[in-house]
Amino acid sequence: MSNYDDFLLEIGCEELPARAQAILINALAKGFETALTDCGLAHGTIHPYVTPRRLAVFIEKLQKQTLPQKVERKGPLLSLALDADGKPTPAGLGFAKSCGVEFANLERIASDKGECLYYCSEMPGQMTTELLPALCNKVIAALPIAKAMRWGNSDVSFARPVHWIVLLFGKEVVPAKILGQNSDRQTYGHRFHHPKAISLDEPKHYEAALQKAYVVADAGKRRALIVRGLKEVVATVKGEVTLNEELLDEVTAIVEWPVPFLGQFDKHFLTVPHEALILAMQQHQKAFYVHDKEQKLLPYFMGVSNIESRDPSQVVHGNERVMNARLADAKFFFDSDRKHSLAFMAQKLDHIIFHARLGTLQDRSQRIAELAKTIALSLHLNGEEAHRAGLLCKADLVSDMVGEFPELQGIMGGYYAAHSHETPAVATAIAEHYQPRFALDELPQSPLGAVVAIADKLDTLVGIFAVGEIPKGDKDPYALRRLALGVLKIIVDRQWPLDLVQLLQKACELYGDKAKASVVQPVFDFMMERFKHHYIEQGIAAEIFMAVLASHPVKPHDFALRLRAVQAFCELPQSAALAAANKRVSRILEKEAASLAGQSVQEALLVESAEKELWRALSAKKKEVLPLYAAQDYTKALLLLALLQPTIDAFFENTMVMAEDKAQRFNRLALLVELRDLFSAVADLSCL
Amino acid sequence: MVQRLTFQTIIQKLQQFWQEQSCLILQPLDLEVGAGTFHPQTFLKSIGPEPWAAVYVQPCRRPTDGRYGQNPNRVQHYYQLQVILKPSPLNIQELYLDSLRVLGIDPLVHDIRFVEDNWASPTLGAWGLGWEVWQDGMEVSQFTYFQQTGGLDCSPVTGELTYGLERLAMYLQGVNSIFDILWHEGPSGPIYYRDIFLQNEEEMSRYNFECADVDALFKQFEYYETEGQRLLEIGLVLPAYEMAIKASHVFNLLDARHAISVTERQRYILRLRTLAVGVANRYYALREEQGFPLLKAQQQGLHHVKL
Repeated sequence: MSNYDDFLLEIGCEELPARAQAILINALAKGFETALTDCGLAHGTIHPYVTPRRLAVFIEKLQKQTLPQKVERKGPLLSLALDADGKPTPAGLGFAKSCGVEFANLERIASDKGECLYYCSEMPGQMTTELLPALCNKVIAALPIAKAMRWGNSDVSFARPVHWIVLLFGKEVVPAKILGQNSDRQTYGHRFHHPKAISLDEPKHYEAALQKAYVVADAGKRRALIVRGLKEVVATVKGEVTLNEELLDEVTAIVEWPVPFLGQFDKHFLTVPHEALILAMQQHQKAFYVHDKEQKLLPYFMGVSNIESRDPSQVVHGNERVMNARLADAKFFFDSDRKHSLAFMAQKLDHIIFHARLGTLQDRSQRIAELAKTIALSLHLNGEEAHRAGLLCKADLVSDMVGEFPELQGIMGGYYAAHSHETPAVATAIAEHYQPRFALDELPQSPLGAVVAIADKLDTLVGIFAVGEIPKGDKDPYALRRLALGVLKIIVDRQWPLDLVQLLQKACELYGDKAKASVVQPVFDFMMERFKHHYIEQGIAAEIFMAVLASHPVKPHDFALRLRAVQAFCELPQSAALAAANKRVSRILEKEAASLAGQSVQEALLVESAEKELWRALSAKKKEVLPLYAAQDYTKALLLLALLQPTIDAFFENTMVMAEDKAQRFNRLALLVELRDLFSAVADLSCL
Repeated sequence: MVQRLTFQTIIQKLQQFWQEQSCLILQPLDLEVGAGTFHPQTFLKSIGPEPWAAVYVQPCRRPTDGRYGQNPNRVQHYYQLQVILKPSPLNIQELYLDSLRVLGIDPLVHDIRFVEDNWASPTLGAWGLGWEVWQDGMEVSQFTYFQQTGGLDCSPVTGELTYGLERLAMYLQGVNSIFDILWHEGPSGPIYYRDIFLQNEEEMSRYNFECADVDALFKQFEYYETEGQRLLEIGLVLPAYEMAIKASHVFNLLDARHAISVTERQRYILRLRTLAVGVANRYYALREEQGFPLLKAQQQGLHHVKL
């Protein structure tokens, strides 16, 4: 007879929330894996299954009983366990009692401190069937249910009401009460196609039995079926489908028997911005949109029904009617929004509070406009257009369309700006100014869009810091981390010579007495922290970032160039020796800093050939390198400076920096200052 | 669909069905409410241990949803058919599906889906979990297991089914506009929804959005709130609840007039909630003093609620 049997647990319930399904089934499978390991039960593969109406795990070859375990216990030292006459003391007797045996049955064993009492027993193996009820309940109780509920008169709580429990080990039902239900071997198929009970003879037939009852229990297989079905359907109209992964997951989680279908909508809705049509299809109807090879929207949509309808045309017609009504709503919003100009909408922003202590969205638009203008002028871009775009960029927040689809903020503003005869640059800037909206989102494509995007984000950063709502842990309601990095990415990407400190000071000024100037430094530091995380994620060593930061660059683009230079420098054979030399220099100078003010190297005082040579080499390099610094060609500059390595090493080998003669000493220190300044104009290499 | 069900037949069939499931057929509340949940037969009856089963139609007013009769799907006045089952029976979903079958909706022809939709009413201090029910992609009902009402945990749990009657009728009659719904086919010809309600939508939208007297509404809000608190203090729970309902409607009107800013909005909701929570607590205490009469009635077999 085998020592192993298959195991199956199925929790049958009312329709589970789509987003919770993956979380619950992963936790259930993981929970079993851990719990079984903890009991010392070996097992084969764990197969998780999840549909809207069930969570199940089928575990292959689960050990039928735990192995007997040796339990060893050490007692008190003999010197404490026995009295002078060799009779057991209360301590000795107590240990025997705690082991459940007579004192005479105890053994002795050597320990570091001398011989002590010892007892070894064997715990018999436990039957898995006896362990399972408690084990299942423990695993289920630990499931991460975001919102648990109760139902009827029951005290049980779960994600949705529970209707049945299947608990099989081999061919036997394991009797247990789980989530208020007695375990059994009966499961149920599709709600409509197979409402009758199915009696399962053993775990391994679970998936096939459900397949016959119109349930594809494996979520992965269900997803694959949907993908295949959608592709077949879209081919019938020579269209293409871009599969939105999130939507695909959601659709997979609301069907047990997926049947994709194609619907059509009224062509004249194609005049509505496609972003709005796509959102209406995806969010409201959980449908996929269809496009041609050029990504142009076609008047079709694809849904996934949960039945093989006796009359599929009724399902399609019903969905088409709802879709047309949804799109009519979108068109209604689009048309009614366009009855007013975007500038008119902007006037209504004075009703909307941005933050109780920071005024209305109108105040905010005005600040963004001013800041955008300043940025644009400093970059020789059109300041008036930047101002205009800033002033109007939040206006679409009062539109009906954005009220219905908040995700369309900015995008609708772009459409409405064009409709209101704003210049194309202004319209594009408005459409792009929220970018990047998430980690991998695109940056604004137009220069003006980038300008307004920077102004918008800096205004939020400064304002929210000014009222002290600094992000902590996972609390970042204004997404300041994303905004901070967004600004930096845009500036670096555009290679703009913008001075971040100046921008923050300007943003701060625009808040008037609502923000103190002292907020600039913390915001700058916060942004640098995000910058660092970003580069570390890109694989740049933290020391390299810190080395550049130590030289205090305030222009993000300049910062990025220095980073690249130091990174290249680190690849050079001389870099380790030069970093060491820089460390040495910085240690020496640290102590002498006070006495060095105003010192410069006097050639006449140089005596040793090594120091003469260093001075000559430094002066020559300085002439080569300074123009490179001015041109921000830090990589080439460091490459040239690296060639100084043997000269510097020779200097330290042959010259006594801390010479007895004060003038000579100071002269050598001044030489080191020259050396340090030449290197640290790029980065503080002593950090490496 | 063999026959074209009129609006009034749909109501009759649903009421008939739920009557057969031991529900009382009740009548609408004679006050303006935003949803059937406000009816004391739902809000108050879901509090405490007493069982309850009822069905009723409730006209609902949502001033901000008005579209001057111009939008085929949105109106500021419409009907809900509300079913309350307490405790929620384990076969409540099956009962609901049977009620659709009574209307001729075959779930092997039509794609019926229970899609997660959790409900919360901040003004009532209430929340629950459940679904919106989709029929071929159209939301035709709301299905909620109440977890809290008036800040009190629901035990037992009330199951609430809310049919959007106009949505259902549009679907069953195959029309694309609310106003094309056939209300009744009488001897003098068909009467459509537009014949009864179009003028109402036009005028009420104008009133809600343009003409409602904001200053007077603010005063009314203050009055209903104060009056509600005063009534609670002298132990008049039901009149106090009426004041809460009136205050809530006034708030909705002020909202439609854009008279309440975003930050103020939260405070008004909190004031409404405070009153509702006060009512819920007093109601519970009162029923407890009386020994929860409906519970006793059920135990003595005097009541017909058999769930």
